[in-house]
Amino acid sequence: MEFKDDLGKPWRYEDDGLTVTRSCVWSPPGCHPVGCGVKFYADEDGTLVKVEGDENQPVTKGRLCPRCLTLKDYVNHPDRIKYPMKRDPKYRGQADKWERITWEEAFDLIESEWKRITAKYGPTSVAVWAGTGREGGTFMPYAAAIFATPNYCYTQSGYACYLPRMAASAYVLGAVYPEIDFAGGLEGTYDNPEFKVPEVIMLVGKDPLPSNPDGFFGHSVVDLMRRGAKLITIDPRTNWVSTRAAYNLRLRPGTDTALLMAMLNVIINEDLYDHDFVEKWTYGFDQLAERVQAIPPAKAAVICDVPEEDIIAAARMYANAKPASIAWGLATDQKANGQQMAHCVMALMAITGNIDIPGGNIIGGFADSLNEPGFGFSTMTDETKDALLGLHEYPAYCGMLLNAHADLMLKALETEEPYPIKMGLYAGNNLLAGTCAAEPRRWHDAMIKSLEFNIGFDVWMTPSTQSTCDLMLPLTTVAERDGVVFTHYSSLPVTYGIMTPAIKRIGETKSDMELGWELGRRLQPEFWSQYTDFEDFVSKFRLMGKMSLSEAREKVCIQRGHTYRKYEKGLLRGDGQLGFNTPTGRVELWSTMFQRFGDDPLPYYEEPQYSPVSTPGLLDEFPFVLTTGARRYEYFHSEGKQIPYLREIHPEPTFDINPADAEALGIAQNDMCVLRNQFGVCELRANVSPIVKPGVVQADHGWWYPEEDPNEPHLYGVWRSNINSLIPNFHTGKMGFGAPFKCILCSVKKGSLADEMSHEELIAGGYDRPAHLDWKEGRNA
Amino acid sequence: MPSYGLLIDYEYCSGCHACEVACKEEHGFPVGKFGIRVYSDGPWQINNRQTNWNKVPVPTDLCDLCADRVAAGRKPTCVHHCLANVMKFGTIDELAEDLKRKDKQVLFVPRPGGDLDWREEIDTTSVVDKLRGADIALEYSVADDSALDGASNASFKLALQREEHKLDDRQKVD
Repeated sequence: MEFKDDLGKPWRYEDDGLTVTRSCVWSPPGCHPVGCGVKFYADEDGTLVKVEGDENQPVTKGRLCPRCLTLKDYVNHPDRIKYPMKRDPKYRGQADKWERITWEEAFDLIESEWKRITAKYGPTSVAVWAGTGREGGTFMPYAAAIFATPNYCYTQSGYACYLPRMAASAYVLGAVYPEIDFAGGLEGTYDNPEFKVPEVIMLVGKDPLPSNPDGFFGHSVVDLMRRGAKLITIDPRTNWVSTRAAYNLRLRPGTDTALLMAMLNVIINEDLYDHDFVEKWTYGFDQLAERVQAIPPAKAAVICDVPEEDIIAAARMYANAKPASIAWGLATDQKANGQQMAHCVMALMAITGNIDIPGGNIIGGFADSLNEPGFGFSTMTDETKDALLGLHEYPAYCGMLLNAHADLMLKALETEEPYPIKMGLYAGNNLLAGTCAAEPRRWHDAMIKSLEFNIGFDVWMTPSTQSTCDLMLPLTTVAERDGVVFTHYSSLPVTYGIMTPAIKRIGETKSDMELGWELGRRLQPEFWSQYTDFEDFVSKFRLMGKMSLSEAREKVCIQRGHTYRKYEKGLLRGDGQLGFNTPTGRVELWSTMFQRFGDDPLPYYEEPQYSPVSTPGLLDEFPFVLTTGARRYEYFHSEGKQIPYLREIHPEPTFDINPADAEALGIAQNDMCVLRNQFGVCELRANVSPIVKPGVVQADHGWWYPEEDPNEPHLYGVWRSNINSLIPNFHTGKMGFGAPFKCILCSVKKGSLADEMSHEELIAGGYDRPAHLDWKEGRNA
Repeated sequence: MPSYGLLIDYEYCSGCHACEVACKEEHGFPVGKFGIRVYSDGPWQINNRQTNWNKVPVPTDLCDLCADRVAAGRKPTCVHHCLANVMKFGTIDELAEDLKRKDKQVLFVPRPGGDLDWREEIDTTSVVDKLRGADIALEYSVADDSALDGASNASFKLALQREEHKLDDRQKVD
């Protein structure tokens, strides 16, 4: 059968009485920016009435996940914050004390508080709480270019999300982030004559289909499988995609570096590596070869609990495939041993000759780098810039991204050392509920104690804004705003997507870019005078001045093309020389930068801080290895809980437990259970499944209950099911990266928190559960 | 005779729920009602290395194969939005040919349910609540509450009020 479609339609057109605007989705709702193509249908009142996938988007081709499919329920939701509101700080945590104000009053308040606080405590007393998946979380101008503070701070301990891999690849490869080549930037994608389908794709600590990080369209793995690619998966869980893999190496959480060192051991000892690439383009091969003798497959088999013959077979399969690619994931960032794991992953790509070749792992060129770090730094004195929290303690982290160190920020909030933090702004962050804080209750307590003025900026009232904010600003959605979404935050060329307003703006909401623009001109007029208007700012800041917003708007989605083997063409280094943008000009298997930062220049395996091997004394009390945060199709971190069609798919948070363990503990499917360790406690329903091995459990993250009591101490039930309460701060790797979100110990017991504490403790801790969960209307309480 | 079907390659259905949600958005089905549902067989272990896990979207009685969209020349919304691109809509004849080319596929031929009244609100009143204070005229009733002893399974005696009717042997209770 032949079908009609909208291929070739312009960026805006009429369809049966509705105005259709083609756009690429990002922020909000949050997502790791693929920039999926959508068609927004608006009626004559400018109301969003329908959303469909845009078949013109060259990567997604009209496909959409449940989160975009429910966009009209999100955009039109009655609980959206529509107007600025203020609240006396003494009423923090009281939902009925907010009063509506105008934007003018809001700006007056921000300006007067900012001036008062910085005069009293210095410019460094202002911090921006950066989150993830939202534009605010990468909008570094908020800090330097607006508040003249260096303290832009992603609040997750050890920046345990994406950045550790970015940093490791900047140091080892001199390029920010090797990704599997899924032909996204090539005209015709998979059919482009330059592209080659990888013979093997190895998924390392990544489940890309529901997660799509960070610009990589996860289902391209399915597209490539159907075109012949074979899979190897390295993951503690047997995800659906693992059941389609040739090898599924189900390792103990936290032991990845041992497994990868063993694979390097096999590939080097069996002479399966690319001699040409190693000799011409790597540094330190002999030293790496010697180091990986420490972990032969037999030893890794014991450490990781993976059969020795599978480690060997998978290593051979990967090395013999021409080409092969590795999709490496969040597990790399969520352990103290993460930089070493990252080093091993890149060593595998390098010694097999798979860097920047068709079907291998592509990297960005020198011209593709981000322009955000350092943006606006001219507003600050050298002394202020130098006071960036963590710059001297963790130069590998803070010096590279110009972000304040998350754990040192918590310390400053709790102790006022080295200086007090008194004012803040939430930039795409719901840290109490979501992904962006370990021990969230500590952050909650410290913020309330320390901050004199805290600004929220979101689509919804969240536990974070309800409890800690004094001013609440209304954030607009993707359907109402201009903007640019680029895969991998522009550091790796695939696509640029353009966001174009499709409907009438709801309430008085603004986007991060608009708030930045307007507040910037108010507080730093001299700096912002370099832009003629908002569109000029967007064009220069996001489009590198290469085109205007109106030109870009017409294209909707731009494939950036790809030049392979840039190391042979002088396209990776600022000086135009051949090779890689590292101190030696080569891929540093022996890392000069790691050594400079005080870590081992070669990979090494280190057990997680709390593990059956490191702390066997804890096993009596906490006998399970806990990993957290496996992704789901229906939610993006803490988002989506108030959208009925999404909540229906997974209405309550769960944890995975193997049937043998469940039976031993008397736990049946959906039983409420308490998970606990020395850092915290929560309750989750059991998903009894062999998706995890005996001895391992995996818990959902990002849960709060928008339909519940918003007031302190209950705060939408944010503490009840919060697995991040079990994850500690201050447990990073040597260079300051990583946190044990995916490798720690816990206990599991059938029952609920009400069984474990007095009624008073239950209520005071906000742990109480209502008799029934009433989410079907999707309303905030 | 049915003419159209939905062909699904369940080797590659990843269970993303896009078809379910696209369908609900298109037709306005409320929470609890679906035009297509993703069923998951697994995970269960075949052996220590292999696991069975197949996800299969199944059209429900409410699926009308997006009759309005098809009449306008478009694909059903589930087919359009499927992330793994494993769904195909067409005539049964052409889809049967596709079925021959590859294993792990299934061809569904829904009975178009476009005329089912799914908008009717489901009655959630308890049968017990409906009977409270109800005045029902009965010919036979329990005359003496004390004859009912909840602690034992002993039979109880019914005091029967005989009106005009004779009691059938079958109804005698000891």
